[in-house]
Amino acid sequence: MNLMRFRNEIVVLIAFLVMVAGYFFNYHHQVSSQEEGLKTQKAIDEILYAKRLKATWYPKHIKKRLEKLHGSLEASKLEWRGSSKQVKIRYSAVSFEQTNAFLEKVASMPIKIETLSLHKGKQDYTIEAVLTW
Amino acid sequence: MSSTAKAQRAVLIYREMEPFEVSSTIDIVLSPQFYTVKKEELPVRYASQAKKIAPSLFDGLLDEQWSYYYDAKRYDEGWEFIAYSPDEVKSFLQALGIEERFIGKVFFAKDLEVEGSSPLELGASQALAFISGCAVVVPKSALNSQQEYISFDDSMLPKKGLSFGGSQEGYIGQGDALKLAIPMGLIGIFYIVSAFMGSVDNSKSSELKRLKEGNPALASSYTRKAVLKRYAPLEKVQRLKRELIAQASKLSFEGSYVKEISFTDSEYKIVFEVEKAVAERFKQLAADKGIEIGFDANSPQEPYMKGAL
Repeated sequence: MNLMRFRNEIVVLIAFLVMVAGYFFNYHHQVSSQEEGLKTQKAIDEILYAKRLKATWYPKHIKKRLEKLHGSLEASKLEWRGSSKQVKIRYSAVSFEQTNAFLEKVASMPIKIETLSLHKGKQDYTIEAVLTW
Repeated sequence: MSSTAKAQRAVLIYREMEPFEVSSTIDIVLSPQFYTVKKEELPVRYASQAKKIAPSLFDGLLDEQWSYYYDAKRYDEGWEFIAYSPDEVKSFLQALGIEERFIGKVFFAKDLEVEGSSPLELGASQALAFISGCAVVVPKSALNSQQEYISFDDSMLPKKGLSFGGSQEGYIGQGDALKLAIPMGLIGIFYIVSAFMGSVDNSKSSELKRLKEGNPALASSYTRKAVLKRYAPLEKVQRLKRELIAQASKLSFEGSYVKEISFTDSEYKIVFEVEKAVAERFKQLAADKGIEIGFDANSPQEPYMKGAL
């Protein structure tokens, strides 16, 4: 069989195959590019998130900040028992304002609030907290 | 009477020929009965220009029922123009019993490479003679009765021939094939090129590289997962605790106080002490802030927030 007899058909077939192959190449390339892009974006997000988490919950200078907190509290109402990784605080007979100030300061510190207990008496408050880092 | 053209690849076509059968593609040589030649000395430089003016040169010389193709070739003193009608040839061949798909290359008798001056025999009464470089069909009676004739064979074919398109036993004509193939080919190329054009943006990859270089400890996905596994639950619980403290603070105002806060390992409870006069305000404020509050029927003045950590 002489293929030259069907050269027109062959030309059309080749062009059709080029078109179809081009389409699938384009489609496959787009899908793999998107997958690669998503994978890259996920890795970027993970690094940034892990970096932020480490910076937040494995902070430097936390002891200095705790010392500052210690210094700001009224010593006569305070029981402060610290160790290398945690501090137990009992702050009793404190006013509404002192309670608010204590809670705000603790909440703003990158420290783990393991337990927190607050009780209102008739005129004052008693706070007990265990903080770790 | 009929003959077959199987043995010979090319066939010399003339008006008075007998029908014959073909079963495969044949090349054809057109006698001067199927084309018109005109030589002109024209101040034209290029063949494309010559082809443009060709139709005007044949004005009135051609049968108007057919559409014609024109070609121009330079010769010593000017241009040789030729006009032919593929439709006319196809129609004639069809009448002979040759389908269009069996038509291969097409040659003109004027281009045949014939040695000597003997004419070619065209049937019983006519001959193809070459006079002053021109092929002409003449009646045998006009020639010498002792004239010797030669037979046409493939060795006389010129190197280049035409194609009428749509031949070669195919089902798609050359013109149609090009009309289909060119757009499809271009679309295919467009798809491929656009795929590469779309992948030029590498900003994310370079950002990732920069982050990995800046944080070598987090470059490995295993390390990252370990860090996330350790710190993500902690972050969630600690943020919730802080959010609860903030919510308790928002609901504290003159007449509404926090009575008790209790954060244990697994749950939380915040109890308020709300005076009757501000009870509605407390409820409204909690609703506005989207804070869920529970009420105990036994102590309606002590709404609470409670849940798991």
